[in-house]
Amino acid sequence: MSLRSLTALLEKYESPHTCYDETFAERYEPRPHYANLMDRLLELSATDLNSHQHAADVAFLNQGITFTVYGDGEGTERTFPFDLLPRIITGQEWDHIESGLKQRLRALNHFLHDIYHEGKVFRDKVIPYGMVASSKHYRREMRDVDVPHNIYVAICGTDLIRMPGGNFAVLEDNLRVPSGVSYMLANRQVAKNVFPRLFHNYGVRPVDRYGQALLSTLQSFAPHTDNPTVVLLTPGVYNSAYYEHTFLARQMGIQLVEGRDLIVHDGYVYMRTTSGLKKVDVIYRRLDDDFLDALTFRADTQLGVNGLFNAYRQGNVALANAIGTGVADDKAIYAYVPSLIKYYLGEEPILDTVETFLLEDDKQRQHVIQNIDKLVVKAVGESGGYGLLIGPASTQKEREEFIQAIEANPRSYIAQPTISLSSAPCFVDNQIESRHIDLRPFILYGGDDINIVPGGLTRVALRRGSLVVNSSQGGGSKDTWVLYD
Amino acid sequence: MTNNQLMLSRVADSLFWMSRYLERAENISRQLDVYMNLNIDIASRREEQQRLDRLIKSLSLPPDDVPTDHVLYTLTFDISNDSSIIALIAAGRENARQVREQLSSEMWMQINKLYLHVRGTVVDSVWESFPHDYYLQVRDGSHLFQGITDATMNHNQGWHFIQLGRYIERSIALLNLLDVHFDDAHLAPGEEISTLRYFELISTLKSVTAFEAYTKVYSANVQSRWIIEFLLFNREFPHSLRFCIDGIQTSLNALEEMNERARNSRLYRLAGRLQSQLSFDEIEDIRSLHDYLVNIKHQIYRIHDNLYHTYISYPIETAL
Repeated sequence: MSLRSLTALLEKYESPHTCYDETFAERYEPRPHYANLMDRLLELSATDLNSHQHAADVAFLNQGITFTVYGDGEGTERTFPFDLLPRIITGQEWDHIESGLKQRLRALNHFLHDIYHEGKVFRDKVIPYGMVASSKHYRREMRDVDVPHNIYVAICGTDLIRMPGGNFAVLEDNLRVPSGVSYMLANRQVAKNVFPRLFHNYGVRPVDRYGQALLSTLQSFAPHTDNPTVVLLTPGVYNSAYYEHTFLARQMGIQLVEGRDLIVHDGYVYMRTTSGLKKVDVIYRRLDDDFLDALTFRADTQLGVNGLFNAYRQGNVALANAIGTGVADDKAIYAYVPSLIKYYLGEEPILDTVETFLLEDDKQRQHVIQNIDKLVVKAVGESGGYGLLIGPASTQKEREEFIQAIEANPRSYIAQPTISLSSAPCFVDNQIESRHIDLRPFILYGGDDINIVPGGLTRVALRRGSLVVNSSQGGGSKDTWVLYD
Repeated sequence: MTNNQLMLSRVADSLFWMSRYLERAENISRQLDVYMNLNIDIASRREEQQRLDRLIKSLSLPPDDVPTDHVLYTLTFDISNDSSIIALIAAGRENARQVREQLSSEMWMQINKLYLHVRGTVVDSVWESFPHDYYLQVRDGSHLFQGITDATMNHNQGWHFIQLGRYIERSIALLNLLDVHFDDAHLAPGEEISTLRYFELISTLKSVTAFEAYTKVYSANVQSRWIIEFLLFNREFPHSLRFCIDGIQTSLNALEEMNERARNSRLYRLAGRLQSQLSFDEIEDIRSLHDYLVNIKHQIYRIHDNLYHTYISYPIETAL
């Protein structure tokens, strides 16, 4: 098929040489699973796409599907830009991803249980104790605290990228309070409206049951089974993911509570309702550890609930995720995950990881400092694209600042080779152009088993050539179609 | 009671205020619109000033929010004035945003649209042309929100808090309006109505959308006494005091049904007493109009306080 003669839309499309093009095997030659989508695009003009784009943007704005950007005055609400063209993953690719993610999450949960109990992993010298204890997200308070089913990470969003060779690799795990699943669900609704017939004929696996799956995951942690009360704890309306909190609470039919709605009395947690106080059994908390309980963690916060940790220790209330999970998504500990998979499961890792330099090691640090213009440097405890240096795109001044910071505090940074994320066609300024993308699937781990909805959030770096896909840094998203075959 | 019927006290509070702010925005936009309309017809400078003073007084603004100049402009567009239409819609929408998951999607979309509309309006172009359309859009936006609320939201506790917010706000605004526009002399039958007075009375009726409803009961014969009677005691007109108090009573009863704890509380005695007073009082019973209006206003304030004490800010020991 030659697309060249047929459409002006693709005139400016060029796939970057250094990365994997999701859609085109060769110029104007789509991969087989994209062929039908491209056929459909041939029938459309830029005007058609623009009117679809407009309708989609209005739908997002009017539904208030927004996130809040920090740092520009009063916390502005923005919509998360939506790209019309779906990203498509074959059934075979997905099966591989799915088994890799399950394996990884099992190993990480074993790891968390181990470091907060016996610490076998230290005795067997798989990872140095200092590495764990020095993590910003390690919570000493969790030593010897038992959590239901020994599951620490019940809700996980893992960032995957596709390497230039076409293989998927884990870029980072989000084991604390991952967000984005509401965009996955909203994108699907919009994409269905834009391409109804195409969607129908494509054989796309549905993602719609996420809410139900999340609720049963949460219920599986309740201290008793007699109609447990599950709530979602939000930091409140000024949180960047507040829209998602309301969305999920509604999908599950549970109360969306703030810290000030909850009271701990005699080791139990209650919420204040118009009918009096009501006992709470499971809290899906979208609040970081630090803010949960001013009596145990940071004292200068009113977002949490005083005494919550005490009720949690006694097993009277369950939290998802557990406290102290952030240690396992520390970017330095990331480097050890392949060994952890071998150690705890006796298996070879299914998914690749990105080569990571640990900067406490003198040799590795020297290498990084000498080659910093080719590398990506990341602060280990940060997320959302903050605290990041992309060597090839950096200025001399930025590099010097990072080198200083690294030398002052090597444990706080890691470095990785600059990897060109895979690219996909996006509709930008009346043309279809190539942009870099990643993939965040959402994984649920309840009392029964691990459950991954087929799909996830495909994030797009909307600025040409940019490798940063975070919503706070000008990223957008696409619907993700996982095919049955 | 299943979990789904539970309602957080904070949520009840937000729904209540969402509704009050929207009602207040609607009320102000109606009054400003009527005022501007009246000034098109006939105006001496002195009359205009008197009308403006009455307008400000009847809106009963907090002292800090009373504009010193550019009154209409400020009360319409100045987001830094908490009593402006734009600030009230923003506040209503902010309360809605705090409890989005309690609203139907349609409700949220409507209030958000209304907000985006007033925020996005190019102020100067509205102001230079006649702002009537603008006020109309605010009212239509508010009416549409009420209609959508009734048609798409479960008529659960939250819905009743929305009703309470609306009717409490509406009845207090009405009492203020009557207090400013009428005094004891207007209670007597057989009032002589000058042309000027006629226009003013019609405007007063229109500022609570009551003109057509009034003529259906009293014909186009406009008399202060009948207007007062109509706005206080008519049981069918949605902006009359009695209608509002009936609405408050109905919603309080519904809440009581749903909440064991609230049975037989002081709240119900207060509301029941006021409701029966209004169903038996007649205009002949009113000795001093001002005292009568103030007395009712205080009863409503006490209902408001007890509503909060019963459902929202109760002490923990009473609720375990």
